[in-house]
Amino acid sequence: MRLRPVAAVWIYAACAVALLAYFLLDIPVQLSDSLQNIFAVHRRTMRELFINNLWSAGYLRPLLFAPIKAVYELSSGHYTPWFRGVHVAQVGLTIALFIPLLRVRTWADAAVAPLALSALVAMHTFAGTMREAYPVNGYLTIVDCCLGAAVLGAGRPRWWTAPVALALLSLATLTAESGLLVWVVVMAGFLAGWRGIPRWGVALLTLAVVGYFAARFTVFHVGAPGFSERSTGFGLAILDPEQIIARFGANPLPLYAYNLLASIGSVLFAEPRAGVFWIAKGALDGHLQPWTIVNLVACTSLTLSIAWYVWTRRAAWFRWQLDHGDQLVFVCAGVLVANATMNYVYTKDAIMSPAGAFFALAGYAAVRAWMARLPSLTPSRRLAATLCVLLCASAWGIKTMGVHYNLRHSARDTRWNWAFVDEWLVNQEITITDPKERAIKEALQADALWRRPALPRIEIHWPWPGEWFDTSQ
Amino acid sequence: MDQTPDHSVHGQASGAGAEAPITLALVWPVLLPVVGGLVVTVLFVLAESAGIRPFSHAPMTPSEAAAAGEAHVLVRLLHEGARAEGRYPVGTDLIPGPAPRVLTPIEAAVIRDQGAVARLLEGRMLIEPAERVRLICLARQSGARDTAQMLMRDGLEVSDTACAQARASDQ
Repeated sequence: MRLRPVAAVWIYAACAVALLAYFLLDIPVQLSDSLQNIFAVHRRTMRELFINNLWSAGYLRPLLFAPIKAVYELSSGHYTPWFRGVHVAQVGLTIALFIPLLRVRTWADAAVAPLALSALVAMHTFAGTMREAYPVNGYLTIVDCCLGAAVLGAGRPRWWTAPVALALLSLATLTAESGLLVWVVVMAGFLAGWRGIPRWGVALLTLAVVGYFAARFTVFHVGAPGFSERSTGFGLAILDPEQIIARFGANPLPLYAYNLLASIGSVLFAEPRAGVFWIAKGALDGHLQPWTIVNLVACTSLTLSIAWYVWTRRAAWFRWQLDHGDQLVFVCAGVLVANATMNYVYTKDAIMSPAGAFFALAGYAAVRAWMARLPSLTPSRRLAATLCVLLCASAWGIKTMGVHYNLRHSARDTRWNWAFVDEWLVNQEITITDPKERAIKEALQADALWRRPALPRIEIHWPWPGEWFDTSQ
Repeated sequence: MDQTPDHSVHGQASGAGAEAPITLALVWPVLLPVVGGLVVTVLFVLAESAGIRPFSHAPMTPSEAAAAGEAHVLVRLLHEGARAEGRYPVGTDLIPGPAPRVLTPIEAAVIRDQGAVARLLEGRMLIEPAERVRLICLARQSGARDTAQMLMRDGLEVSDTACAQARASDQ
């Protein structure tokens, strides 16, 4: 029996997911951002959680707590394996939805697919979503919904694709605002020629988005988040809310424009990150970290590949005769701009995770085309091109190893936090009076500290210094 | 679509350029670094599962955990029956010296300026005033300024003379 290229890619992906699962399952449920959310779902019914989140100022996220509540109820007290298992399942689903979009048909496609998977998993926008969960990761839900919509759009039209796409849009949008990107994916894909979701389906989703905005602003009066609610990076520093008000209170437009461009730059060049130019800052401070250069090389090389690809395909683009690779690039562009626009108030890597996923797809299309060109090049040009590809793939290889390294460090940090849980509760002014909540806290603490002992911390020194791995992600 | 006997890989280019057969000699630069990274990580996991831990440092005693700042390991060991007041050896990799020193966890934390761990231990044991003075002096002697400051809360003042007296009584 002969192994098919797509089967080889699935096997490789299964190994990658198994490896990620090994490291992800070692991370206990987080203390900050998770314990209070678990208390919240314990105190309220699903209906109450839904209704309460319809009227939060600045945010319309009635389904944000729904998966947490569902997993909490299903777990029957086995919180850590359930919540961590769901996180692994989410990551596995992301990869499972990503692979069909690669359309692996040949061994040449299969040869580039590992790079694409690396770019997905090790992209700084995505890696952050793996390290944290609240305790169900809403950002991953949105990435999965976006990729799911793309799979539907790029596939064959069927009667159920539009209703499923509508369900994905509803789930994503009511989980967080960036869920609107599902509509962007569907619309951009449709414009690029995807017909898996028929015209009436796209119209239906558009109506749903109009209805969402109408409900948000006229029924629930949620409005938009204030620009001074959170810290955000600007230039070489992070501005806290007071500094933001002092600097941009009179005219926030420059901050909005900066955040938009910074978010785009973050995906295309890995700089700035969350609004801060780390390479410039490191160079000025005399502490330039190797991982910032690795990030820059990894993302910029893919961006240049995509730019080259679009240039070589310009004739087809002008005629609007887009093939699957072109369609991936077009959808990536749409998602990138829309995703960055949603970051206008403050920038954060994890919010850009859908754009990061489509960037990996666009990069795949570009590198695949680049590889197809290699045989026709002169030997000297081929050598130069080979070195460029090697540099790009090496950077992503380092980043991929860094993901596992960071996950192990996350496991250690999370356990460390649990050692100080009582102090943390005092600092957060949380008093546990409900015996059930005390039992939840004690179960999670036991899981983190002694029921599931930590795997040893990894300390890598010369010749593979940990500074090569992006520990900020 | 198919793998040929000479290991050529053929494919329909998605986009730019006409399709030409490309060989493994051409695809290795894109394949090797990422697949190699995965293989290295798999080997690491297999080695770790087999008990070989080349890049790992696992503190073995409560005092080592305290010295390394591994509060979670310390809490686990205390939960498993170790005593916060007990004395345990600390390897020379954590506290340099001609031989492993035998210290209480809080002494180890103080020497290595692990203020948070010292605070954690402080909450789990009763520290007599004279012992507190000794720990503050130990922190100063070790250059652990933050930990010394943490131990000196509630307005406690410890003079250099008091430290000299504490050292003399130790000897």
